[in-house]
Amino acid sequence: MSIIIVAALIFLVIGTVFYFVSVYNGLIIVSRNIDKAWANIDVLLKQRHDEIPKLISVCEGYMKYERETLEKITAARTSCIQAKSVGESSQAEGNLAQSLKTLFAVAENYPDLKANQNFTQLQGRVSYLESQIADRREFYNDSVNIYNIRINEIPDLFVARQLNMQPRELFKVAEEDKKDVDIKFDFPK
Amino acid sequence: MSEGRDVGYAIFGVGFGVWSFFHGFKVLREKRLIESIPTSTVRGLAIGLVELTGKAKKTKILQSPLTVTECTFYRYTVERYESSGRSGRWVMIAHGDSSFCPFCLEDNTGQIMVLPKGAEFVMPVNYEFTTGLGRTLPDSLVNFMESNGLQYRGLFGNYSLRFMEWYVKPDDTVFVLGTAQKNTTQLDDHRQALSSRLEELKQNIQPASELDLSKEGNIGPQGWSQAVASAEHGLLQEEIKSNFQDDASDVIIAKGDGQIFIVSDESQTDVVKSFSWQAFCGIWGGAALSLALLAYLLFRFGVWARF
Repeated sequence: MSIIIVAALIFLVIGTVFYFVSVYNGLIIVSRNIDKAWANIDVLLKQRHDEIPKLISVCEGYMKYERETLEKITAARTSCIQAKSVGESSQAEGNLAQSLKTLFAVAENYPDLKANQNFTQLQGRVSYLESQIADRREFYNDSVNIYNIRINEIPDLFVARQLNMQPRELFKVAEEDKKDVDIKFDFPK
Repeated sequence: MSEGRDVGYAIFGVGFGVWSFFHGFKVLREKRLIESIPTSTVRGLAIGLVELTGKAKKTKILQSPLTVTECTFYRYTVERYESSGRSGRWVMIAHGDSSFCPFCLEDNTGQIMVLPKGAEFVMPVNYEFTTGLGRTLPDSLVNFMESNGLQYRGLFGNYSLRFMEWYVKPDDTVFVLGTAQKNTTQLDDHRQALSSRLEELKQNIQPASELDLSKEGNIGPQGWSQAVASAEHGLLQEEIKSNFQDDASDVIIAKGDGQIFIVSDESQTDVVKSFSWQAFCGIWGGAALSLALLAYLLFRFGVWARF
């Protein structure tokens, strides 16, 4: 009888150890997934930042009266590079996305620019990158959501407390980015 | 049961129980991994382990071997019942799948190729047929057996056979957890095709003489570059015509080194449920089986009474 009890205890001990190891590993995976998801957004942001100077140089020749719009894009790009936290980055990226939207909307007023093949290609590329970035941000938020739920669930909660795991920040769009784009057309008189 | 045979079964059972116990933890780890990874979109996916859900699209016309159903993926098994004494068991006589043939997964943001080789398939059986009294083999199964040289009729009538088939039809929703990686196969094929064209060019004297731009009797670097560019252009045109661009992209989903790879036509929730049950049964069932059979062995050898 005692052999069976010992065997049952062995199963119980091994099972408990394995279970908590799997909980610990699971928490580490969800935590690292967030870092990876954030780094994967950065890869696309870098690509977009590289495209912006090309876009501006193509537009400059045609949009002489839109200096302010182009300068706003340059300033927004600089602040994106300098952003440190998720909050700062989300605000700076929001400003840049808004400025690009304004640029593309204003470009409609310049038929020569619209006919320029380089501009069309760059516009397509930047728009596609924007969509990819939006998808990866959603993915980042999903990763954060899974992590935040996991560290508050039982039994993960006990391990998460031991590891001092804190809830992570979601990527939120700034209030001003939810407003409509303000477009001013300078029609020749 | 003969003397010693039950002991053998019991020892095997204890071992199987211990294996199930540890296997249960492996399944539990996989289940937690599925839950840990959010679903990506095709457009936004990054290289590495990804989870995708979308509609299956065919890259080539495939027909399942048993039911001749048009599909994007199939798997089948054929088993024959072999009796020995009072007992018997099902023995696999044929099996196969289409894991060599990629299919496309499409969501509302794009399309990506999935190479199912090496995947773990979580699918309910789509077709099952067991021969028996008054159940004659359908024509498609007879054709399959005959074309594969498999016996289905003995001296005393038809064998007891069991056919099972799993398939994913075009536009069925599929769940894939695999590794997004660069499609090196496509690049290799392209390179190989290009080099064979250049080799042909070297062999063919007439077009090669056209590349002798300096008319000095040999092909200079400029002439050769022109030849390479021309061959590559021709190859690309042919690849575009043969839907090369539609069927393949530079990133595919396949099995990564030591990584989990699951293909299922069930939803993520159902896959997680299935894994939860497997883990639960493996861990608790394995431990219980081992303990029960250990107790039986102790009882059988009279050790039980001594403790």
